[in-house]
Amino acid sequence: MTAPLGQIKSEIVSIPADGWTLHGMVHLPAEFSGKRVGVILLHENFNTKFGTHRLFKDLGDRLAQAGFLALRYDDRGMCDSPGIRDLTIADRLADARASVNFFRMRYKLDALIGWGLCLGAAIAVHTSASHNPNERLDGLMLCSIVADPGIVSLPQYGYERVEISKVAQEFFLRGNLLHKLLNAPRSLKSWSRKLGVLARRYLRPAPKELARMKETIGKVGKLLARYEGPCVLVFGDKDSYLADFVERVNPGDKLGLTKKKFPPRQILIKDGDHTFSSREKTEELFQITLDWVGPFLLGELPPQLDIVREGSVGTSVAEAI
Amino acid sequence: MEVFYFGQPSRRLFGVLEKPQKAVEAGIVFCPPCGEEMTSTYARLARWSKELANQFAVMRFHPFGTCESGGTFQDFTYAGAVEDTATAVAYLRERTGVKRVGLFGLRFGAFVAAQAAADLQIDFLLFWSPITDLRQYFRDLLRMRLTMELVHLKPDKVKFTTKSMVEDFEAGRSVDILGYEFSPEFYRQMTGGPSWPKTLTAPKVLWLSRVAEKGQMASVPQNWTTESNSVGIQFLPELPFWEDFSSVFPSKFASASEAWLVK
Repeated sequence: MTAPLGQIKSEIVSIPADGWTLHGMVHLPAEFSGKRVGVILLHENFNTKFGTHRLFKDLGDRLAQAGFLALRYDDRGMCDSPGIRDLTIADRLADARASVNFFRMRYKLDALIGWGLCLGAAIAVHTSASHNPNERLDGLMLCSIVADPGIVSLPQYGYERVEISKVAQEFFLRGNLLHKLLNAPRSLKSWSRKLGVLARRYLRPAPKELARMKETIGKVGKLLARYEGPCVLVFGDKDSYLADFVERVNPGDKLGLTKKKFPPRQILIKDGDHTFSSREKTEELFQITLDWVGPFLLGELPPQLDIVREGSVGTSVAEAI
Repeated sequence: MEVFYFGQPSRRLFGVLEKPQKAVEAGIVFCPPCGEEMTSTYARLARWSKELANQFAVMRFHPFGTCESGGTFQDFTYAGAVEDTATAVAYLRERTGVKRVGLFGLRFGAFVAAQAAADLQIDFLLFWSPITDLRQYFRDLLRMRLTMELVHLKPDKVKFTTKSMVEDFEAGRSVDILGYEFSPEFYRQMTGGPSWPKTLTAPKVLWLSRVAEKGQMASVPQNWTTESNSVGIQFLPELPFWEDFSSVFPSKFASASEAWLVK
């Protein structure tokens, strides 16, 4: 079923969460012909419900066009949600649980799928581990997932504390090491300027929130291994998070994902970056999403074995990089 | 805090209005930057708008074709953004009854604000790092796409140049820049369109730029760039915070703005 985009309705919703109110948008299909299946879209770090290059808004429309309901929201005290909050990882998890609960109950959903990008994917995995049946997720679509705790010390996460191991990894393991060593004398001057900054940042005490964030992200791999529902991992092959996942989170299938009864499907998008930032790659991501979630409308589960672009976690990805 | 849609049904706009409980005399409409800069600065500007709402009625909106508003990004144009600013100002005036209205614009939004103010009887203008030359800015957008492709692909796999992108526009085709489908109409308006207004379009102006941006003032008429009773100019050591998605806030811009707004 595909309705014209013009028939898609969206409504503004207010989601209660621990005394806060989250501002959300629900995309509704023109009509329901199968099961009432919702997809909750969980955005990345310091971002908002419409997403980078409007990814979440457009995906919400496309899902509604295909007969799904979709919910996007802003975290407490962020963006279009009322109030001001220095958001913590605990807030993000609580907001996700509250939103799942709200979405499932208010819209009387038969099934609810978590769709997350980057940190949003990590939040989806954590939410799936909830013991509250109203907070459970019946499927997970995880794009560019952050599961390596080292990543959250990078500047874009805003904690401004450098990890020497991460800097060393960036220097020694990325790119052509021989070339780097040959150019070392020339680079020395540049590095000597940076060393002072790095030293100051290294010596700065780690913010408690950074430690909590790292602990939370550090659990993602194990929770993913424990998750029993259908799951798909999507990466762009130009995304550095792919290498982090393969080399640091799941080297040699350390998590045992391939041995699970239903191993997560894995899809690589050729020439895709971290946020699939071209219309072509975005369209590919939308198509993959619609193909994967489609069976839920019929009350079925998506196939676990893939046909194209797929392999088992820890093998095909390793080959890809 | 009110979150709502407004404008004509065929041009539905998304808006957020915040104001103190008590009656206020002045309101501010935020004019957002363009494309990915709007997204990357969204959380930070939303936070600042909430802080300002202790003293002012503050309205944020999404121009048609962007974010939560109707249309696709191909519908987004410079002229449309100016038109939507007027719609937002009218809504703010009608909804709150404020006596004075100002426009705040970041980057592309500052250019839009300066232009829109000409027809709207705006009382004050606040700019952060304004784009002063639309043509140059548009060229930079094209180069940004090229740079991204060069980073992600091997140079021999990059199949286009800025020239070929311009040719696409000239032939009536839209061009994808980092996931945003820029239309030929937007291209025409940006490259053949308006320069910075010749005369001040509001009685009070505060122009804040980064130290590194001093050179860009050359293309702006002198009455905008000369300190006077009407115009305040400050060059502050800020980072180009719109270039990333971090939580880094331009506190120097914000402090200078708040001090000026309170006056």
